[in-house]
Amino acid sequence: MMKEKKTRTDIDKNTENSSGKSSSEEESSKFTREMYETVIKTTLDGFWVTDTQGHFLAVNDAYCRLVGYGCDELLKKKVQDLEATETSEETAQHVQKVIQQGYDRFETKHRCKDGKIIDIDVSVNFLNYAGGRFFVFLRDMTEQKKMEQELFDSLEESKRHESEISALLKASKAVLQHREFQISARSIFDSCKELIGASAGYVALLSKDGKENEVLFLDAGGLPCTVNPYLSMPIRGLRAETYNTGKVAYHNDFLQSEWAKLMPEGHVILKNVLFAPLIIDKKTVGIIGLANKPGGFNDRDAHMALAFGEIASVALINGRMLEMLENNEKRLKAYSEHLEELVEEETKKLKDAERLAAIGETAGMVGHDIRNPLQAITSAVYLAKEEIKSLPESNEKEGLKESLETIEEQVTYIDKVVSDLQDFVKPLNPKIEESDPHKIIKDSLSNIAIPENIKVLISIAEDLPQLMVDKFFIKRVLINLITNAIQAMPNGGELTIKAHHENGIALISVEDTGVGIPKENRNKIFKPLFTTKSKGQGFGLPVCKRLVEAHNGGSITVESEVGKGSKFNVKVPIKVRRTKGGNN
Amino acid sequence: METTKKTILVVDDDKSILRTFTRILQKSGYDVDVAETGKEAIEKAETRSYDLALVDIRLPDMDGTDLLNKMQKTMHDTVKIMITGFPSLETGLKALDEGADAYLVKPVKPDELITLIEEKLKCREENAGNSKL
Repeated sequence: MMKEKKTRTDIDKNTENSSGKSSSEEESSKFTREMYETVIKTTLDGFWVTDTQGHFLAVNDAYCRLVGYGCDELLKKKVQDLEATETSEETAQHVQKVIQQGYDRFETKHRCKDGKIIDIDVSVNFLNYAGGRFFVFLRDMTEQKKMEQELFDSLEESKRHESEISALLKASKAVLQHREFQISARSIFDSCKELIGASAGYVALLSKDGKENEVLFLDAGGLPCTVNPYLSMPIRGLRAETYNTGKVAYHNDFLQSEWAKLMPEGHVILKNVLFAPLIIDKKTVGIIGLANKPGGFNDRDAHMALAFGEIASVALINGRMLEMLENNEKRLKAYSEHLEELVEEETKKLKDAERLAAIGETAGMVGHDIRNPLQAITSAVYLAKEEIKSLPESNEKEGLKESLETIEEQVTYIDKVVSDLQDFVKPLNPKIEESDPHKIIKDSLSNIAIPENIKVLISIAEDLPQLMVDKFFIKRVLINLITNAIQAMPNGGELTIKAHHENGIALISVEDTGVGIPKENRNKIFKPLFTTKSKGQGFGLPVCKRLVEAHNGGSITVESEVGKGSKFNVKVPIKVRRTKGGNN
Repeated sequence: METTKKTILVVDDDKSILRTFTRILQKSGYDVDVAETGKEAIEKAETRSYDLALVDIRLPDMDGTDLLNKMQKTMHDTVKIMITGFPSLETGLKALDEGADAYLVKPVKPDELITLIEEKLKCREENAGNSKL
């Protein structure tokens, strides 16, 4: 309790003016006065009484403590001396307003004795007596204001955190969403640019030779940029710092910096720039560049840009790994398809082999059973022919002779069919030796009767080396092909036999100008038991194929056009010449 | 010119072959005997000697090459020609290995057969002078 002298104020003096009351009345009013005095002394808020001019008529201790003035000092001052926000005129207006309203409640600031400004909450009442008096309670709001500010600041801070986190999340999501770096990088960049508040920028990767900055995409922020897009961007200036240190670098007065002069003609005007690194395995492999942030970049921006750089790095690694994975997957798929094909092919081969083995077994048995009657027929025909020799010449004799010859021909044909069948299953063991291609072709032709209406053209390259073949095999193949060619030209035509060598292999072709082979049959003619001829020679070409393929690198193929003719190409090995003129 | 006919034994289980071969060979001036089985052929070879034997490789009671092997003892000097209806490199090689003088595949053309028989018999006569074997 403070009952010191200085707590006495002018209130007492001013309210004591009228006397002449009864003692009980006096006592009662004294009590009331003391009670008010005590209230004012004990309240923690400041208290004043002023006149309408702003002169302090009374102040309490609480206010004195608040502003650091002594009570006597204050009583010599006016409200305007303490008011820190309102001008004298404003204060005068405010006074008028309170007079009219009779009361007011407002916030203001007061200047302390030491110059400090404090926030004050004011509650004022106007009493129109003795020329007008203001009764004012003043509460120190500095702490409260400070707390409010802190609350506001931390709210702002958490809002910023929230937007930072959501931007980072958005960028992270882009990493997961997009396979291609080009797309995820754009999304990450956009989030980064928006959060930091830059208006332009780009993402670039270090070129393979490590000398250039290869821009992935550029956002000029609506400003004109006429730089040749093919102009190389060497690693220099401020971005070199990011590339070299792996740290964020920024400059807020770029046009005045030492690097401004390095900018090519037509470049976007750069007020400020920031570069954040993309790091893989501790190496900076690219950058996020930002520019033209109103107000410039700060450390917080640098910190955030670094985080976006990290996310972009992850996206880059992901993109590269996915690409690798995709490539591997493609390769694996191709390989498995190839495998499937191989398996299919092998299965087919196996099936063919099984089929051929079965054919072989049957052929062996059937062959034996057919050859015996063939022998008997051959012998009987021979005897009959011998016997009719002694008959006198007559039409009947001629007719008989013709019939016997027909039987002989047919027997020869059956023999051929049986031979082909049995040959087909016989394992081949070619006797490879140097063979003269001229001789093989000549020998083959001499075995066949060529009709007069067929013209034979032979062209053998002069430099064709000796063949490394079983000459009987190849002779048999050529006889077969030539016979077929002749049969394909019942009305005559041209038979062309050519031989030359290329890429270390001999190519012998037998070409006719005959009926040709329909496309759908072209793949089948080399398969056993296939024939288009009513008189089956189905084993002819399959046997040829076997004989040719028994040689290393040997192959037989056909080109044909219906109505124009067919061309069979046989590839067989040649002698490798070690020295010049080594052939012959 | 020798007037005694050369003797030929034809071994085959096919009667029409036996019949036609007999006639063809007889026409060419040979004395022909036939056998339908390996056993019969061995028995016949024991009673008389042949200048030449024409043997089918597949016989009902034995393999032609086995017969060839057995005939080597009793028919040492006989020319042996093997005929087969089931040609293969292996059987051909085996027949020649067992002492066959020739290896033919059915159907054999009769004039070719006659030429071959003449050649082989001539060869045998020439060799008879030398003690070569």
